Amino acid sequence: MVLEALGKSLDSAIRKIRRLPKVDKDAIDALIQELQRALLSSDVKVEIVFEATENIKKEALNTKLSSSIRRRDFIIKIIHDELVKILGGKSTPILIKPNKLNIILMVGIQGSGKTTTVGKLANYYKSKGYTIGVVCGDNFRPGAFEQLEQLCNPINVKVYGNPIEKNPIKLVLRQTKQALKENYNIIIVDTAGRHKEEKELMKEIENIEKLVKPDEVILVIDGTLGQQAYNQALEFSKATRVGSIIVTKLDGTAKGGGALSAVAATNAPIKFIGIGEKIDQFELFEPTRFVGTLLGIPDLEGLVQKVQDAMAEPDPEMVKRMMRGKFTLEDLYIQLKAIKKMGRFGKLLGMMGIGNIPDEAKDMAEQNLDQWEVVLNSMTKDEKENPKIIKKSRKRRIAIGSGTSYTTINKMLDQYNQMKSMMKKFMKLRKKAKKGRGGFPGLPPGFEMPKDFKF
Amino acid sequence: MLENLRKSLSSYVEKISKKTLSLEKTEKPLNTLKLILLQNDVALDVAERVCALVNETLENEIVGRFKSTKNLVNFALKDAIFKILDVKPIDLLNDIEKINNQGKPYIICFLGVNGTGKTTTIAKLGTYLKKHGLRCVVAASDTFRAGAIEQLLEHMNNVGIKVIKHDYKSDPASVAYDTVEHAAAKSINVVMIDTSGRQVSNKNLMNEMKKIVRVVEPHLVLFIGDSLAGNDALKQAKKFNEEVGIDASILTKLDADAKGGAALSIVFETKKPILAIGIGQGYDDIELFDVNTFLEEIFSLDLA
Repeated sequence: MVLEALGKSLDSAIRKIRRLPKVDKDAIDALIQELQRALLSSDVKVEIVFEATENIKKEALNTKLSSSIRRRDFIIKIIHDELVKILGGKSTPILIKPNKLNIILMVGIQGSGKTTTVGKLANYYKSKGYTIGVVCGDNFRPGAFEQLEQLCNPINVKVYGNPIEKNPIKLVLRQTKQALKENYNIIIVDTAGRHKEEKELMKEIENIEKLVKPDEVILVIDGTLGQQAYNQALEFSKATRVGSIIVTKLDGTAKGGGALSAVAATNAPIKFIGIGEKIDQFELFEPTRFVGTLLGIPDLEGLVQKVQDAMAEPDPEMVKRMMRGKFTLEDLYIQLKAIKKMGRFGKLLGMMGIGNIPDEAKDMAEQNLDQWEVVLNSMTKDEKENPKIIKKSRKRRIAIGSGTSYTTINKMLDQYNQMKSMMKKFMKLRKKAKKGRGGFPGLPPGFEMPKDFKF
Repeated sequence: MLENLRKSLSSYVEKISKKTLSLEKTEKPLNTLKLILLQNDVALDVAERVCALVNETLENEIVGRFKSTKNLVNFALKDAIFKILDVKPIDLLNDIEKINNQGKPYIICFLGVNGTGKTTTIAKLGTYLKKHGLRCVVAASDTFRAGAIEQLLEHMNNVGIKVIKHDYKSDPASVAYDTVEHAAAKSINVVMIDTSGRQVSNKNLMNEMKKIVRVVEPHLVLFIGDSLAGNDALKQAKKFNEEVGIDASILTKLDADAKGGAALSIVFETKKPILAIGIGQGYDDIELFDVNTFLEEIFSLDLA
């Protein structure tokens, strides 16, 4: 089936371009065409597709690159960045003001999944320790109130509603007033589905917003929404102050391109995505992963990371310190973090002449990173700079402070000493190599630092 | 409802007709046609297929046979769309009568992804069937989604149709089976089975759907598609058709300024007709779908 092959063809176009010795205009044109197809078949609005791909093309051809980054690697990052830019950049969770009432108003088209999302949102914030009340403002769709109750009862969230009230504005106001008595941190107001052609209903939601004065209006967007997403979202943002978007049904076959159009129309970022029918199948939005799905490149995150690593230069200060043989606990922690991310530490060692990261260092990074952080936070500046001073009583104090044990601290210091002696050994060999004796594995014979070598 | 698609296509025909047609020059206008189709919710695959068909016709025809290039292009486009929509239509009332004459209730099973409007469509179709003097009963086989049974009960109470229900989490196939038994015993004309919305990527739920169909052997399996959905409408229809098998589709929410392109995509993929379209929130807001009217609406231009 062509649709499934589509993502793959973009994926392979990108991989192909990364194998080319030189990237020229033809190669970029071909890639842009695949990219357009991928975005169109993921339901991104036609106009947005062409605008975005035009920008990508310009940047891909015109950006001056430092010699260390290859243009072909850079392209994937340009594509990623352009699409993430449309999505409004890095996502932050919806701001909930503590010790104050926060009212959230949910709006959206019929069948987008507003009510299910209300349950998920209530569950999410409840697990963060907030107290929550839910107001059912949908007296049009049969079963809306029962649905909310069945979603919220199991998570002990109270639902305020009155299915026999005819006027939706009165309903929302009265029920919200009821909920206000309870001093909740958050009140979530569910409303009936409506679309932009239902002018009266759009006017109604405008009035509801005016009267309820929500702190946040969330537009719920169906992940399967196609080209009409832009216009629909635009009308919602004209009627209300849409501040966030939640995309639903992304567990299915939909790619969610309509949501991207909705972001462009409303300037509101996506905060969460719905990925299933169960109440906890709800995630914070990750732009990179979303763009990966959109393009049909599952490991986009990895590819972008690779390019970012290639672009990131190691901290010159640290290299200098290490060249002088200074290697503190703080340095070790930074290195472990870098090893976990891979790439950077390897590059740093590469600059110093070591080819591969020792396996024990990798294991250490994987296993103990979190522990290292806690332990280091329990140390004084002096201890971190000069670990020699850490003796019995200091070890005991650090163990208590970090919630670890005396033996753990011992073990970690051992690891540090091993790394340090490895560094020292290497430095000695490097000095020898500098003198021209050569023969050290990983360093070319007669290796000498270039005179203008700078970090 | 198809106003927009019609407008953009007719202005497209105007535009292309003003230029002399030569084969080298068809690439650009065909690209424009593709974009118009995409903007009108036609899925990418289908838009490309339409363009290929138009191109074929243009290549094989000589302008002279038609009085003008406009007529030629118009013909080519209509021909292409007709080729896609040319599937055997369903005569629902007639089919129901045939089955009823064998002393059996006519069984309709509704399926689709979440939130496309299955329950609302059952209420609408039920209203339509009642108007034609047919007695209906509905199976509450959505035993999963919160509030689904209450929603169905209230809708059916409003339109005066009986519902057979079990509790939440009970087996949807057995609810459907009981409803068919009930209909047979009471000589009811039509059984409509409401099922949970499901994503086609969910294997367990697709198996559950297959089981329902296996148990009750419906005469008509209806795919309910959201006309606001884009390329995914095609994927949904394709997967339901492959895994469960569908006989026709109903497109919903066409009043929401949807462009009707989904109709083209779904028929293209399933080779099964569109039975009806939903055009509002009222129980009467349903229209039987007719290919010729659809084509006429798109091409209410003066044809040669």
